[in-house]
Amino acid sequence: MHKLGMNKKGDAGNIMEDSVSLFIIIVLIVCFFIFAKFYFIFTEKQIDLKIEENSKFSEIDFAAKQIESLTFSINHEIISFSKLARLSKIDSKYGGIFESKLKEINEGEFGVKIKATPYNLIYDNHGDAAYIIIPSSEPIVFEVTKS
Amino acid sequence: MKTNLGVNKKGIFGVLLVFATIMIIGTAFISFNAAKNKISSEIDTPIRLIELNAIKNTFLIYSNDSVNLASQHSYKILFDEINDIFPSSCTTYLNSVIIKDACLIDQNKLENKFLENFNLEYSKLINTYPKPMIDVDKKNILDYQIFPKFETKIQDNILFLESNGQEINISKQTKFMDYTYSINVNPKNSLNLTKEKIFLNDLKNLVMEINSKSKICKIKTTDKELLSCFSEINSDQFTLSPSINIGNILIEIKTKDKFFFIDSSTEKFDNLSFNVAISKA
Repeated sequence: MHKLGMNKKGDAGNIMEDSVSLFIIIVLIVCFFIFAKFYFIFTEKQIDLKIEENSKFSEIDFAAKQIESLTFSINHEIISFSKLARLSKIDSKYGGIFESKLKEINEGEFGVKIKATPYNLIYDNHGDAAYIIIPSSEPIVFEVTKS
Repeated sequence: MKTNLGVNKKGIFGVLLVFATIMIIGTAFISFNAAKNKISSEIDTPIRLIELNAIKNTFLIYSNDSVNLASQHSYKILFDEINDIFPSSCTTYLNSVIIKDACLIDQNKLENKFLENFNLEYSKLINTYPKPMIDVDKKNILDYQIFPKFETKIQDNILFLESNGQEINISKQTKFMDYTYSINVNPKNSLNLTKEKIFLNDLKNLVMEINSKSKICKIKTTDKELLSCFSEINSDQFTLSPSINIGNILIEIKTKDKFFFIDSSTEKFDNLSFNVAISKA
């Protein structure tokens, strides 16, 4: 009886030791996650992404900017690319004119191809194309790629 | 002996634990650093910079064009809610303000109303910028926010946008790291409203001219003479269509130019108009 009691006491001691070890391990794991989180907070890096405005890093992007600033003379009125794109959505008369202007761009001097794009296609090939987005009730998106 | 062995066991366990801790933290430090540098170098590569620059350019073009469009939308709202820019004491006839000496357009109210509309419309357009455009990662659509920070004022029919730039915050959350890219875009800081065919001063002057003319026209005896009298008012920007309606004169003021505006969620391009009334008595 007495021996059994002593054994019980010994077991209890071992279990306590195991619990302490387990506790320490859990604390260490928690500390590890906290450390990981704080490491990235305190070593935050700021990367300067300034690029010269006239940089010809991307020819397509440059061409897109050129196209966006185009103006067209229609019925003695000077109309910008954006305005013509917006009008083409509202009035079929302008739709025909705009289509012919797009054809001129695609066959012209810019060396790029331009087409209207639904938004969900955009992120599939970003980097190979530049985009012209026309503000509107439903923004109109054009994809500019190398022809 | 038993006790010494127990102490030794505890000691060995403690030393192992310390070693394990150092190993884990060391490995973590090295791997975190490697992960961070990898991301940094990915962003530093020319192709990434081109992409981010393209995002910036695209948004800049959108933002500048939004300034023009928002000014037109605001002009339409101003016409729809024209009664708000007259003194509150004015009376109306068929929902049109009856103009008289005490009921003329208040220039401050006119400009403030236009600016209020503009701020709202501009922010609305900026917030409809298509989200998938900002996908630096290619694999994931990143969460993003645009903060349009600007103050507006009008001077000599020029709209000034005093802006510290618009910030696009692109963020990505991973298990340990939250990446945030901030791109600052500076849209154009002024818009000549005259070039956009928006004439705020002329609108006020026209209403004043109608009021002056009404004093001369009221003495005309026949309706025909009366309408002909009001038709003498000339404006380069607006056309006036007077009509007589049960003892009062209604004048429709319509822009000669067309503007983009949203009507019942549909974009339209048309002339804008509003009515003012003149009491015949």
